[in-house]
Amino acid sequence: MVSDPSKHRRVAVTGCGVVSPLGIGMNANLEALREGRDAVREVTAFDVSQTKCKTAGHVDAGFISGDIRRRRRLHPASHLLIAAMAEAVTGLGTAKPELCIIGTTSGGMSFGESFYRALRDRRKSTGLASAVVNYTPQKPVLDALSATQLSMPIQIIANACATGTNAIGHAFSLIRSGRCQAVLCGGYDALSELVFVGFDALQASTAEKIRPFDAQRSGLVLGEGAAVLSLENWESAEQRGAQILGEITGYGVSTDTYNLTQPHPSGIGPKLAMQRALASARISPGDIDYINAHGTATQFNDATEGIAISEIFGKVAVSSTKSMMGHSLGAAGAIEAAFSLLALQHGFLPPNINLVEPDPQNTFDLVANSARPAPIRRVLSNSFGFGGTNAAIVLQRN
Amino acid sequence: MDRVTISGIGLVSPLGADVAVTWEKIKAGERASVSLLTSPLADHDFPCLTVPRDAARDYERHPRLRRSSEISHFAAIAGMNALRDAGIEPGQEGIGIVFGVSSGGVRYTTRFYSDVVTSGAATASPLLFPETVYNAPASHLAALLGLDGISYTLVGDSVVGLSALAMAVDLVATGELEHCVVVACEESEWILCEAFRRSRFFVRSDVTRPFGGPGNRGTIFSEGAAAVVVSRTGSIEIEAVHRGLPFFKNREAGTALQTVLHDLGTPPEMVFTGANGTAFDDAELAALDSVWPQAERSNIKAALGESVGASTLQQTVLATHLLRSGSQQRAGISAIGYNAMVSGAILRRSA
Repeated sequence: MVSDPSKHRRVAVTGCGVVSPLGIGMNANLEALREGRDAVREVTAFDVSQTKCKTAGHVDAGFISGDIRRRRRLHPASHLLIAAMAEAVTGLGTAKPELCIIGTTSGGMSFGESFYRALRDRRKSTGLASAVVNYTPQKPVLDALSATQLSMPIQIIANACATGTNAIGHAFSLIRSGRCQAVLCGGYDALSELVFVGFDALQASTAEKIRPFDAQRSGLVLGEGAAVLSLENWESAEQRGAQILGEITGYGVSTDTYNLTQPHPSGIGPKLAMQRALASARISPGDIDYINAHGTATQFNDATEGIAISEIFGKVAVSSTKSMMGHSLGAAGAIEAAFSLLALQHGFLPPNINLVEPDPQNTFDLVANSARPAPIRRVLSNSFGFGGTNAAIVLQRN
Repeated sequence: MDRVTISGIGLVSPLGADVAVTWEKIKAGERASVSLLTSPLADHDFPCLTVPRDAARDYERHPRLRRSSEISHFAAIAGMNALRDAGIEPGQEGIGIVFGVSSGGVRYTTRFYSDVVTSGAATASPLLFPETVYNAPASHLAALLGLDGISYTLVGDSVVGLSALAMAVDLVATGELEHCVVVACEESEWILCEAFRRSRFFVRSDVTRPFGGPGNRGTIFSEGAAAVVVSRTGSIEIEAVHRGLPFFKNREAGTALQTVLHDLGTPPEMVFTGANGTAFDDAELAALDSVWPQAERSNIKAALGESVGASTLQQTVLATHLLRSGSQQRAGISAIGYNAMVSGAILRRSA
């Protein structure tokens, strides 16, 4: 069964907030994207002496503002999401979001780690109850709503690394179908030792620079951050005179059941998600000007995503902004949607840095090492994750 | 709301993996037997209601599931039984899945991190880590179903099953899916009991007393899964399901639940309550007294324990079973989560 396109509503993006290793806020991230800044550095938050990878994209903790005393017990993820949410809702005006859909992969995992270590070391129980409360994935969302004085139902999607795009895509579907008028959506994740070691154990992370779509790529580095988008029914947004930052026009999702951690080598998972996003937007591959790729720089991802993009799109411009800030997991799809909006608004292609030798299997136009000016109209943003979750959204310039 | 129904149900609980048998046992006042979870890091054990091993063996030799944690087995059994109950073949077009979990694969997560802390990161297992991700159980069920479309995993507190149901209703009502298999699941582990003990939700006793009044407050934890198939045809309609409301202070929980119950519409004849022996019972009681005062109250947690992520969908499955039996026309579900969410739903038997 397919929803009736004649009844579809247009979906406007009326607010966007982003916190990433590249900067705090949309303007700071815009500047860093244009520069092609490398925000990956040594990990100091936990012991990395036994891991192959020793770097990650960190958000500068100096950004935390507001009532520090009241918020000092909150998880770092809460601070990331509070800042992103605060920026996203500045343009809400009279709009009243009915739902908040946020993606994450690990919630307040580092507090869970602290809890375990405290039990193991038989430390005094002070603060352990607080760690439990602030560990849960929904708590940063509650904190962000509380900080922005909003209250609404929340749905936390945990679809591994596709989750940020799933959150935006599902919000888009609800507004387009008319079941909601306004929805806040996005994703967050903060670095944690467990996840860092996990990717290292899988030999998915690298001791070198992250080089998406490079013939010599050797793996990913992790990152962290948060991004929130405010989506609204287009007509309602226009009627209230909202500043419209862009439009979401399509969403595609697929599940690849080949393996829990590896995509099918044919690229069928990414291919289906992208084709479904194009069909949802009722456009053809030639209508896409730029693809913000998932591009983790692992052998498996880049091979399958590269095949899928090359087969469907041929010569389209592509970059992975993870090359600049690492893979922020549950935040990645939302941050990359924010980056895609910036690219559309300001007419440029964000770069794929650290590139030495493009993988010859790919036919697309990799935006190598430096940003390029380009009057782009439509962007496809990809996110793929463990469990075979694949998602893609289409964003369009206003 | 567009007509959306429950066309199939499945359940895995400490009382077994058969819905009808479980309901008969609950009606007869039977309670699941208590196991003791041993903590390697604390000086005490934790009483817990666990799923009997015989009830979770269906897929233990399946290539996709043989290395996975119990939570994935519970989910697979409940999900496949629900699909079978709905008369739907795996692989059929238009099927999607929505999962609700609270702590996910906590046994493997604890083992993985324990190894890292004890023996160092160099010894971390690449086999355990993938099973720690929240959507691992959904991925396994998707593989069993041969699914290539929508698969979402929601994470939350004990109302997450209703959140998943609400999302499924959206997906079916908008025509994105023909059928949606909704699964909520949880597995027990000592560290969860320790965490809830620190939060004063846990009672070190063999019995949970929902709405039991002051004194001896706390719940006994359990595990399991529940599944419903959301479709457009079927004998049990989802009259209303709330997307849930947050509360920012514990004292606001009752007011939030009152709002939810009001939003759901005309009170049902009976309600499956979420009360579990904790201090939130008072708030739920006050909300029910205020908004659904005439609804007969039923509670499954004295028998099944608090299965957290699985609990509200277990309530939903048993409410559906009761309605199918024809003794009631409309049944409600109410719940207050341990971490600041409330929700509810009303089901009705088609005329």
